[in-house]
Amino acid sequence: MAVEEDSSMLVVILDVNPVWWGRRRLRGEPSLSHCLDSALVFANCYLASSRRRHLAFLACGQRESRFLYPARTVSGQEQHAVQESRDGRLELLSAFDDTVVREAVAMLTRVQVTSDMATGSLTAGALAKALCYINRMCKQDKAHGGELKARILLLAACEEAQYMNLMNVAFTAEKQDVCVDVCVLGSESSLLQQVSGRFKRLVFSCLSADVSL
Amino acid sequence: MSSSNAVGNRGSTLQKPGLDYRDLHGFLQSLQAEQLNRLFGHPATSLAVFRELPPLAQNYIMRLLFLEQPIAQAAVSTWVQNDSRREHTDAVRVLCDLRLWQDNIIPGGLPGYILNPVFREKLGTALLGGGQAWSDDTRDLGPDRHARDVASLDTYAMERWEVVLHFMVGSPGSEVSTDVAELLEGAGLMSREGDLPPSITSAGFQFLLLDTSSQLWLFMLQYLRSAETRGMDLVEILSFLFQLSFSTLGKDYSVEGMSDTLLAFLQHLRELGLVFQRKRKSRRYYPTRLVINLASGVAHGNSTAGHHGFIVVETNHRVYAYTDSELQLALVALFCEMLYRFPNMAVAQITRESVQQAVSSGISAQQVCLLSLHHVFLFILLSLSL
Repeated sequence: MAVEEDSSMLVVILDVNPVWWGRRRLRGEPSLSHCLDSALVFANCYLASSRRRHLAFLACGQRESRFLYPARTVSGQEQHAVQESRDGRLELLSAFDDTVVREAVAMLTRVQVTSDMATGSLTAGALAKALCYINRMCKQDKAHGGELKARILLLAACEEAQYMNLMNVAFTAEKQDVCVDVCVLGSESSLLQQVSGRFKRLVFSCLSADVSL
Repeated sequence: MSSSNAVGNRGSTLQKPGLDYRDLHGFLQSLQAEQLNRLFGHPATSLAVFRELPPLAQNYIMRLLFLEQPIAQAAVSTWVQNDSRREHTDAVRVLCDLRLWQDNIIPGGLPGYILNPVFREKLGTALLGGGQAWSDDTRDLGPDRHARDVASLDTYAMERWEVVLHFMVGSPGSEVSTDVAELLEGAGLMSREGDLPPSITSAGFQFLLLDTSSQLWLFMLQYLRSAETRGMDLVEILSFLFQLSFSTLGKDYSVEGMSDTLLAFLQHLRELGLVFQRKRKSRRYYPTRLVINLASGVAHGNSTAGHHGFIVVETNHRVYAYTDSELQLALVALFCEMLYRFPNMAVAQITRESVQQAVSSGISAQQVCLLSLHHVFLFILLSLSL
């Protein structure tokens, strides 16, 4: 059979700051839905490559960051949705895509735009949530005798203002042996470069279609 | 007991000519080009083949997935650094053997590679959507009144599979259909002499030593090889098998739209415990854990870490088996003479006659040692390692 590999986990964090994306749309550049599509393609390819891969999807906005997948139901339980696949896609991927899109729409429609909105996103918070999730998953896996390798992919949009928080998170990630890859969608950010250590190029070329690195 | 020898030879006994333990790639490479192309015509198979590739080969496929023109071989070889040449050539060889990469001349005269178009399209469908659903909705059938949960599916699967193993060992009262019996004989696991009922062979004994997923895979390989002789379309049943291996445990699927070949195949799977169907005419079925692990080779819940041995062998040739499973007792009875039976334990003696009987039915002494070592009681194993 295939080479035995350890379980691995990827957490994708997408910056959905509505103000930043709205401005981009007004300039005629590709919008959030394009970016989300590309990210989902990447996630599908990642998940499909091996049975032992897990993926979580986070979105961070200005006021909150939340898990799009695995989604939380009203009672607070995690839900790994399984549903019928209406087309030739793998069931798991179908359910994953639908959940992410549904939750993203729900999150964005709840945002109330006011004139004095902060323009930065809660990137540090999202990274912290991702690290907590990875920590929990690693512990669960250890209880079953496995070893989980984890990475975070951050699709960052706008300028990050929270220097101290971000640095704290970066050091924690280093200690936990979690590699952070950053894909900056806007202008280059030296701060995020420090966070990721070295700039890592994405393996799957399908993502770079609309996005300018 | 020459335990150290047995451990040292453990790897080599599996390569004996009796057991043809080829993996998925080996099997696919043995198919004709035209059969392979038809096989790739189903998204499930393309995805299954993709999953089994080595990581570098998967990377290459991903790079070419959205490319419709051929790419120069020289360009491909620049994708790796010089000290990973060996992995690169291995990956290219795997891809060419499976006919995923075809040689093509790009405009300009240079040799190039192009991804098999059928494979490319179907893998794209499996990953990204579009195309037809793999099987019909069961929503039309309404909720299942007799739904089974995961635990009962697991017990059902193991029960059914153990019936086959019991039949191999010769336990009284275990019956399998003629098709399955023929398959076992065809695989060399059992042999029939004249009018006598079939008995286990040396290869069959080795087969019993394997873990469940390897046993299943060997069995399915034999089934696929003999499919043509039974008038079944190999490509069709292989695609269905892969489709099953991607299904979700605990979910029911509909039999609508399945051809006669597939329905017959489903009945065979039902007998082996790979699929649960309440009645022969039921319109829905539940895949069990056995079939989901089949094509992936990942043995969930079957690791040796959780494997509890049950045999203690003493130097006076007494064997104590701490089990009440009929199958395990039958395994012990193959080469020992049973003395006493208690609710949770059985006592047996290895005698000259019992070993001679085992040897005459094709079991070698080395295999007997292996069996004992494989199933040695956990406590003893721990104290040996101290």
